[in-house]
Amino acid sequence: MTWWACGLGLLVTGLYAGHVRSGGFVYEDARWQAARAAPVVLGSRRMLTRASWALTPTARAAHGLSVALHLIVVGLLGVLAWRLGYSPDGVRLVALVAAVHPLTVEAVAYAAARGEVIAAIGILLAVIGAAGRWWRPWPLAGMVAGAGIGWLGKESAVVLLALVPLTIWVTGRRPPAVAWGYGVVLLWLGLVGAWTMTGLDSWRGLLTLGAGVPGWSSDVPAWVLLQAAATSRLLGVAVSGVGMTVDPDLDLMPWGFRVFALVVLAGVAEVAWRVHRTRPLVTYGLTWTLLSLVPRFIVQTPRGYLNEHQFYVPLLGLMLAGVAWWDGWAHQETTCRV
Amino acid sequence: MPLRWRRWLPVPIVGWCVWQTAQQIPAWRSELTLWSHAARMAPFKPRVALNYAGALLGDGQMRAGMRQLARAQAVADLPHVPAVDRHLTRRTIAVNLRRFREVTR
Repeated sequence: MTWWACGLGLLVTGLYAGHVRSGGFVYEDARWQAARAAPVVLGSRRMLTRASWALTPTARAAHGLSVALHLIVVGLLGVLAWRLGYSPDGVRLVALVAAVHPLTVEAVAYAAARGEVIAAIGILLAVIGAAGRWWRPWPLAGMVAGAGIGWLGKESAVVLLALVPLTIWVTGRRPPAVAWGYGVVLLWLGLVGAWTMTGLDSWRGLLTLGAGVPGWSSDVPAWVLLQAAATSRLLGVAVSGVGMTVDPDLDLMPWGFRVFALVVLAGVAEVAWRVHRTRPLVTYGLTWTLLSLVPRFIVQTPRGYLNEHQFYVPLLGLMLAGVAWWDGWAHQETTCRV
Repeated sequence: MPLRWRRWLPVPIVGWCVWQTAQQIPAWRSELTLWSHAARMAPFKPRVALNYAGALLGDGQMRAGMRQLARAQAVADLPHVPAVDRHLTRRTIAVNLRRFREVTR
C-alpha cells in the first residue's frame, strides 16, 4: 500500500508539475490575493483559506499548496473508504479516481477555489470520525475538529451536519445509551461553537448576495431549475470526463432541459433509495452527492450557478458510490446451485 | 463478463481520466489560455466574451481584444441572456472602453 500511495503521489505531482512551475494567477485569484493584505482575524469567515493565501504570495507556492491539499483529500478519502469496509482494491481505486479525475482540476489548479479543498478536508475528517465507534473521545474530537476546519475553509462545509449522521447510519454502529447522550451533546456544542466563531452576520449575508445588483431578482423556481441543469451537466461531465469549462452557458439551456435535469436528480435519489438495502454504500455515495448540493440550491448568487470547484465535495460522494458499485460487482462470489 | 475481467474494468476509465486531466490543466495556466478555452466552450455567454476580451487586452493584443469587446456587446443583446448579465456586461464594456481610450490617448 505504501508503494502504491507513493506512486499515486508521484502521478498527481507529475500531472500538476507544469502548472505549479509556470501557471499564473487567473480570474478571481487577483481579487483574493488583494484580500491578503487584510489581517486574518481568528475565527473570521474563511479564516483558514485566507490564511493559506497569506502564506502563498507567489503563484508557484499557491499552486503547490493546492496540489498538496488535494493529495490530503485523496488520502483521507482512501481512509474513509477503508473504514467503510471497501475492499483493498476499492480503497485504491477510489483514491486513484479522486486523484486524477478531470473534474477536480478547477478546485486544484485555481488558487481562489482552495476553500473547497480545505472544506473537503474538514468534511472528510468529520465523517472518518463518524465511520466507527464515533461516541468515543477521539472520533468525537475528530468530528468537531473537522467541522471547525471545514467551516473555517468555506461555508459549504455546513453539509457535514447531514453527512455525519448519514455516515453513522451506513456504518450501523449503535453506542451505549449513556455515551450516545454525551456524544450528541458534545458534538452539538462543538458545532454551535464553530458556527458562532464564523460569525452569524456573514451567514445572513450569504442569503442576500444578490441584493442591490441591478437586473437581479430572486426567483426561487427559476433558480432551482437552473441549478438542477448545472448539476445534471456536472454529473454528465463527471461520468464522461469531458466538457469541463470555467463558465458554461447554462442560460442557453431550454426550459424543457431544465425540467428534465430536475427529473434526473429525482431519479438519482430514487436509485439511492432503491438500493439502500442491497448496496448501502452506493446509497451512501449518491446521498452524499445530493446532500452536499443542497446549499447551492438555497443560496442565490447573481450569475453564480453551480460550477466545477463547487462540485468538488459532491464529486467525492459520486466516486464513493461508483466504486462501491464496482466493488460489489467485481468481487461478487459465484454460487453453485446444488 | 468473467469475474477476473471485471477487476480490470477501471483501468481504461482511470487512463481516460488521466488523459483528460492532463488536457485540462494547461487551460488554467494564464488568463488567456483560460478564457480562450472558455470561449470555445461557451461562445454565446457575454461574461466569457468579456473576460476573453480582458485577457487579450491584458496580453497587449489590442485589436483582437476590441473585437472581443464588440462581440461581448453583441452576445449580451441575445434574447437568452438574463437582464442582470446584460446590465453588467454593458457596464463593464463601458469601463473597459474608457480605460482603453485613456491608455491610447
